[in-house]
Amino acid sequence: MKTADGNILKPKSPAGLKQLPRTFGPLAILIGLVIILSLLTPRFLTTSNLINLMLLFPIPLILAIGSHFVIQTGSIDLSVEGVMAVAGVVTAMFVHNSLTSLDWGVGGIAMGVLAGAALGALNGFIYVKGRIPSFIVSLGLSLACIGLATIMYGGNPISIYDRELQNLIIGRTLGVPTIFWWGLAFFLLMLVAERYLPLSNHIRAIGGNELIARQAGVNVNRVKLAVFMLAGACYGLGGALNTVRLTIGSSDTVSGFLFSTITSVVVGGTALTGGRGSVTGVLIGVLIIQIINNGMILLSLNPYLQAAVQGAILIAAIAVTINRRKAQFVK
Amino acid sequence: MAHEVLVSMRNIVKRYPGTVALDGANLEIRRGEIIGLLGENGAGKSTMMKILVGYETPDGGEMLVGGKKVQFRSTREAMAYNIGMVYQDQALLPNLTVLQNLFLGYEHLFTRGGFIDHRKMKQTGREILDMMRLHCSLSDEVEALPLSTRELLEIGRLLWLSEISGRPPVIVLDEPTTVLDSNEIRQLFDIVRSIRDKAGIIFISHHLQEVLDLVDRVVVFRDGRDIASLPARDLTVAKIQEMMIGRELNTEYYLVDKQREPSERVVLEVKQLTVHGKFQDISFQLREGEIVSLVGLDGSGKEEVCRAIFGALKPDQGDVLLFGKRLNLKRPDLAIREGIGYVPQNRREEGAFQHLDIAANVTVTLLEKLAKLMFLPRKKGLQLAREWIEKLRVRASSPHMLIRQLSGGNQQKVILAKWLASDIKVLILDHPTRGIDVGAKEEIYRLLRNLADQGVAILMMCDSLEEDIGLSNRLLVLKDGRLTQEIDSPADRKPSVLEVIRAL
Repeated sequence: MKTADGNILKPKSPAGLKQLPRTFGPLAILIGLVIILSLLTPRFLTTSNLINLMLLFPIPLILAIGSHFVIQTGSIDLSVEGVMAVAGVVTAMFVHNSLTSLDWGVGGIAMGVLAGAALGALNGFIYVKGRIPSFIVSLGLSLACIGLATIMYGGNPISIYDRELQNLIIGRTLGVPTIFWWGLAFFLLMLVAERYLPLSNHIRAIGGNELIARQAGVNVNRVKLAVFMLAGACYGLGGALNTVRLTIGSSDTVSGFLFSTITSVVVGGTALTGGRGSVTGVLIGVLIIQIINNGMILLSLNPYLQAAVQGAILIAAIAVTINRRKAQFVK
Repeated sequence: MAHEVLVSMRNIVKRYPGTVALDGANLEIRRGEIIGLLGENGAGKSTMMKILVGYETPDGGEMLVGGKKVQFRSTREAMAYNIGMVYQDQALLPNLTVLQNLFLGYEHLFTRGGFIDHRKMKQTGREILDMMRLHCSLSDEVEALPLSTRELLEIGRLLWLSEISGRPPVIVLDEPTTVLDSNEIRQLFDIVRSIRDKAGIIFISHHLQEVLDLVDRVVVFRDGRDIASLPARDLTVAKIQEMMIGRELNTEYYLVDKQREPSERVVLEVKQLTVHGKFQDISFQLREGEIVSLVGLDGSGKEEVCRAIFGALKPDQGDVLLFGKRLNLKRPDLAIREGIGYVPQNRREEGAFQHLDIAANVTVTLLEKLAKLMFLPRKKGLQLAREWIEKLRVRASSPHMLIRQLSGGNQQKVILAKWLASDIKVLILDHPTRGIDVGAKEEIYRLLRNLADQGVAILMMCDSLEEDIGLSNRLLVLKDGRLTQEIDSPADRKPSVLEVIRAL
């Protein structure tokens, strides 16, 4: 549409502001958080607390990056906990344990990842082929998986005897928990994938506008399937590591991971409407959430209040990351 | 100067339920030639283009690309032959960078062992920007770019695709100038001319002078057929207009003998209504029993004027008075309460509750009046729906039939019934006969005449100027958001379509 003076429909963007990378906001929050916490409690910036954080954050990071790719397409995957449970129990059954006579070592973790990828593929398949909203499919799958995992070990949680394997997680390498290096390697791998794989362009394109992406020649269904499978593999890896760390194969060890995963992804700047966000942003988001949780414990905040804070953070983060003026209806 | 024939469309037929959009249309696209495709709304030119780019499949006729017979089932298949459309509503992703957009779906041409070679990709990207004489950066997000740049990027992408396949592209530019200012239009035209030798180009625009300035050949569509194909230098705007219309008004069809003289009483008065960027200073009156048509090209702002009066678009300035009383234009439900009805263009999404039955749709605006102590007397609602089904001859077996089970014409009748039942003073109709077959159209015309007889003031926009002229007492011409002219259209002295077209 054009009027006498012509260019009314030109998008207005303050040139200076848009030059800032999108991770700037979350990064500023992270830095502010570190400063505030180190002022509030002397126990925050101590070696033991930092090592504790390094031990804690890799698993949420792996989960969040998997979830991030799904959210970037504009879908959502709520199967985190169910897939983790099944993968954890599968891993427990394949390493030296109380239920079976297998002893596959690291191979057990690989089995957990495979189980996760298979469940992710199933999740994506039902969503894409059945045309059922991803949020329902993944929520249903998660519940089904928790049940399945519990049946697999018959109610008696599996004990893991493989201390060597556990050492690969909680043991030290170069002075810090070994799992920190796992997390770092995983992050770098995903950073490379994000930059150099055509798939990452296609994921963002689908999140931007599925129809345009299809017209441009993106195989939308295949990308969606791949993304759900990747997410499942991530949850599988997270579940496997979680199980080995706790040396227990049980579906009770996964509660709380879904909420912190989604919150981290959103806090890191990935819009729930899709198309925005980066792996680096997710890293920052995970750090923010882990440090907030850590800080609240150090400050001995009432646990119920902690939950309330976490909920408030999720809502606030969504309010900031979604451009609600563009949305005609909110459902 | 035209050379090799790139695409030849012969005897193309396309039927939609109730109408024939294309009735044996032909089009030949040659390399090195810019074709101006012209015709009124509904003449079939956009359907022809949709078939060309694989968005629709024809019901008859054949299409040859490079002498070979083809049948596209998707836009992707047409793209494989380098046939593509640059849409006015943008086919780039705002959340990706220029570089990502340029090569979306074709990244594999730049990969080594599955990984993107960014250096190679950027180099090709820069070549495209240079060719299109664009000064944006490859890392700019498309969201931040002006629409003209986005259009040129799309064209650049199509040209590049054709280069790598070694086949000259066919590029359809659908109303590319509506979003551009005059400088940007000049830039676009320069570039289109500079790529002329490499491609076959089809240019669609409502601004006839613009078309004559740019194109080599003009093809005119009318009633689903190509009726003329002439070199642009032999043509004038007036000549093209004559070709585009060429039919006498059928006064019987539009029930012109039933047209009544409106009374002197003013029902609705619009005073200096303005929505920034859409329209300015619109003032007019609607009298009792009067039918008034808003006419104007795409982007003239007529749809927005109607939406503003109904409260669906918030005006920045101005007032709307109903029987001298100022209306609150904040929300549609306030307009409805005052007695203003609105029939939107988009039946499926805005006009009716597709998943509800006829009874619910007819009574939805009456709920408050029908309700007793907050409870709805279902029997009364059904009774009412039955009455209207009979009165409007809606083809439905019962009032419980769902709206989506009805044909377009019958859906529209139910929507009208909703307003008829709720005793309105003003009815606004946005393309009331779009996608409706001929028989149902006549019944809708009759309904409009009856409404006018009852004293309802009607404001509308139609699918063709003929319909506008045939039905209305008066036409208001909108141009670039301003009311530029009023044309009387009394029953005994209907203006000609040509007369109205010249005013647009």
